[in-house]
Amino acid sequence: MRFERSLSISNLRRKPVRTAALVLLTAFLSFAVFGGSLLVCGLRNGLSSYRSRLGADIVVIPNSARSKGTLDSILLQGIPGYFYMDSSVLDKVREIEGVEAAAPQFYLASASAGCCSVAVQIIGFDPDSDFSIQPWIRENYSGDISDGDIIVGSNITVPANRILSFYNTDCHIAAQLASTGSGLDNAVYANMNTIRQMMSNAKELGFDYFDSVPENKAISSVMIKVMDGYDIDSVTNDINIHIRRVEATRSQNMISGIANGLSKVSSVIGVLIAFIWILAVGILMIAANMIFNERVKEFAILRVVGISQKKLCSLVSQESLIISLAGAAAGIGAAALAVFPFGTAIRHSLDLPYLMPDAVTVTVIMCAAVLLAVVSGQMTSRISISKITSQETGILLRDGA
Amino acid sequence: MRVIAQGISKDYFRQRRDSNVFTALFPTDMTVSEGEIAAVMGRSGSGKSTLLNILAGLLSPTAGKVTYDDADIFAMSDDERSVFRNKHIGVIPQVHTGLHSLNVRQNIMLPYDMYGEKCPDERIDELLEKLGLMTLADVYPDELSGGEMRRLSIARALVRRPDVILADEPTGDLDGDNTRIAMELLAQAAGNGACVLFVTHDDEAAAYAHKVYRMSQGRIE
Repeated sequence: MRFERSLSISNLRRKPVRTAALVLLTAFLSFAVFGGSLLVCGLRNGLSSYRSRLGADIVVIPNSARSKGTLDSILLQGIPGYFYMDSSVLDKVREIEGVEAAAPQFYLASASAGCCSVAVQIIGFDPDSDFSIQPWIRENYSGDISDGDIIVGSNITVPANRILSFYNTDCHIAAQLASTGSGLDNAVYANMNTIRQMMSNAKELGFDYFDSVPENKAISSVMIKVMDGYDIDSVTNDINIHIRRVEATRSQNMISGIANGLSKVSSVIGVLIAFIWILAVGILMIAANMIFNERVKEFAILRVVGISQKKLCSLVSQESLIISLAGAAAGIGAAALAVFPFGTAIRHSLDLPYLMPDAVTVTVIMCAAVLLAVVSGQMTSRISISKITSQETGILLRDGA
Repeated sequence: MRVIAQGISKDYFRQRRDSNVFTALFPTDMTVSEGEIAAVMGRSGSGKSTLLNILAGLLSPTAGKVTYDDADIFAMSDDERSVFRNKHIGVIPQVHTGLHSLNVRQNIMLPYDMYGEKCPDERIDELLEKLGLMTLADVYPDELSGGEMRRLSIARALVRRPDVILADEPTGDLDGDNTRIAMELLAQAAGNGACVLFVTHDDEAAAYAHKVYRMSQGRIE
C-alpha cells in the first residue's frame, strides 16, 4: 500500500496540468452538490422556522386586508403594512364551536418620518391570550416584556442606548431575536399596551390608519388554535359563515404558496445538482479514459516488473482518492464562500424564507459532498482501469509502443 | 531455474480475406536451462516477441504450457504470477520503459519497492556504474535518449539478480560499446546460473548466445 501511495503522489506531482484539470472538475462537482444542497436545506429551514412561528391553526383578518397588504407580505417579506377590524370579532370567534384559544395581534407600520427611529413592521400581542408569539420569543428571551419594552428581529440595528422610538413612543429594547430567514427578522414585537400607545400616538400625529375603527378597539388579526377532535377546515368555514367582514384562512394554506415556491426552487436545484453530477461524472469518465489510454505503456511497464492487477487498481484508486479529496476540499470551500456570506441576498433574490442550516446539517452535507466526489472518482477510475487490466500485458506493450 | 515451453502457440483474431484467425506462433517446444544463453533471431513479424511474451507470462498461449522448473506459469493466479515474475524473471521489453514519475535510480529500484523490499544501494550503484548511468541517476526519463532508456530497462531487469532473463531487442538502441557492456552483463548473469533468452537482429549480440533459434512466419526453423 505504501508503494501505491508514494507512486500515486509522484504520478500526480509529475503531471501538474493533468492533476489540476481533474481536481478542478471534481471541485466543480463538489461545488454544485454542497452549494446546491446547502441552498435547498436553507430554504426548507426557513419555511420550517416560519411555519413554527406562525403557531396557529387558523388566522382571521378583515376582508379589507387584501387591499392594504396581506398577512404573508407583512410577515414573510417584511413589507410594513396594517389593517384593522373591531375587537368584537375576537369575542365572536371565541363563541365558534371548536375554537380552543383565540388571541389578537396588532400590526402597525412605523413611519419613515421623524417620529419613528426606523421604518419597520410592529407586531403587537396580548400577553394574556397569546400562544403564537411568546413561545418562540421565550426561546431567546426569558424575561418579562413589560409595557414600553420591545423585542426586535435579527435584522434591526440595536442602538447603543437600546431605545427606539415609534410615533414618539420611546421603547426599550429588551432582547433581539435569532434570525428566522424571513420578513419576521425585520419586525419589532411589543405587548398590547405598548402597541396601543403607539396607535394612539399615531392617530394624534395625524396618521389615520384605522378607518372607522376606534384605535383603542382596533385589532389586526385573530390567531386561533382549534380543539383536538375538530376539523380545522370546518371551523374555518364556520367563522367565514358566521362572522361578517372577516376572512378566516387555514394557516397551512397561507404558507402553501411559499411551500409551493420552495418546492419548485428545490426541484430546480435538485435537477440542476443531478444534471451537473451526471455531466461531471461523464466528463470525468471521458477524461479518465483518455488519460488511461495515454498511460497504457506505463501500466504495462508496471505489469512487466510484477505489479498485480489488484495492486494496479489500488494505485489508480489512490490517485483518484487524492484528486477527489483535493477537488472536494476546493469545491466545498468555494461553495461555502459563495453561500455562507450571502444568505440575505439569496433570500431577497428567491423571495423565499432562507435560514442557514445548523453546523451538524452543514457537516452532514459536507460529508455527503466529499463522499459523492470520492465515489464518482473511484467509479470512473475503476471502470477505466478495468478496461486496461482486462487486456493482456503483451497486448498492452504492443499497443502502447 | 529451467524454462520449458511445450507446444505453445498463439492465434489472434484478425479480419483477413481467407480467415479471421492469424497464427502468430505455431506450436513450439523450447527449453532454456540454467546458465544457458539462447538467442531468437528472425525478421520482423516472425513471432519472436510473441514467443518471448508468452514465456514471460505476459501473453497467454492459445495452446501449450510454460513451466519454470515444475511451476506452470499460466496455472498461477494473477497475484501469484505477478509476484513470481517480480522475484524470478527479469524482462527487458522492446519498448522504452521508463516510468516518467520516477527518476533513473527510482526506476531501477522499482522491482524492490513494488513489494516493500529494500534495494541494496551497492547493487544499484554497480549497475548504474556498469551501464554508464551514474551521472543520470537523478534524471527523469523524459530527459533520456533512446540508448539511455534501454540501459535503464536492462538495469531494472537485472537488479534483483533474477533466475530468468527475457529480453526483447536488448541492444536495439545501443552503440557498439554499450552493446558489448549490456551483453557482458547478460553473460555474467548466465555465468551466475541465470537462464537468458533474448530476441535480436544483431549478429554481434547473437554471438554471445550458446544456442540460436531462427524464426520465420511463427515457426522455429
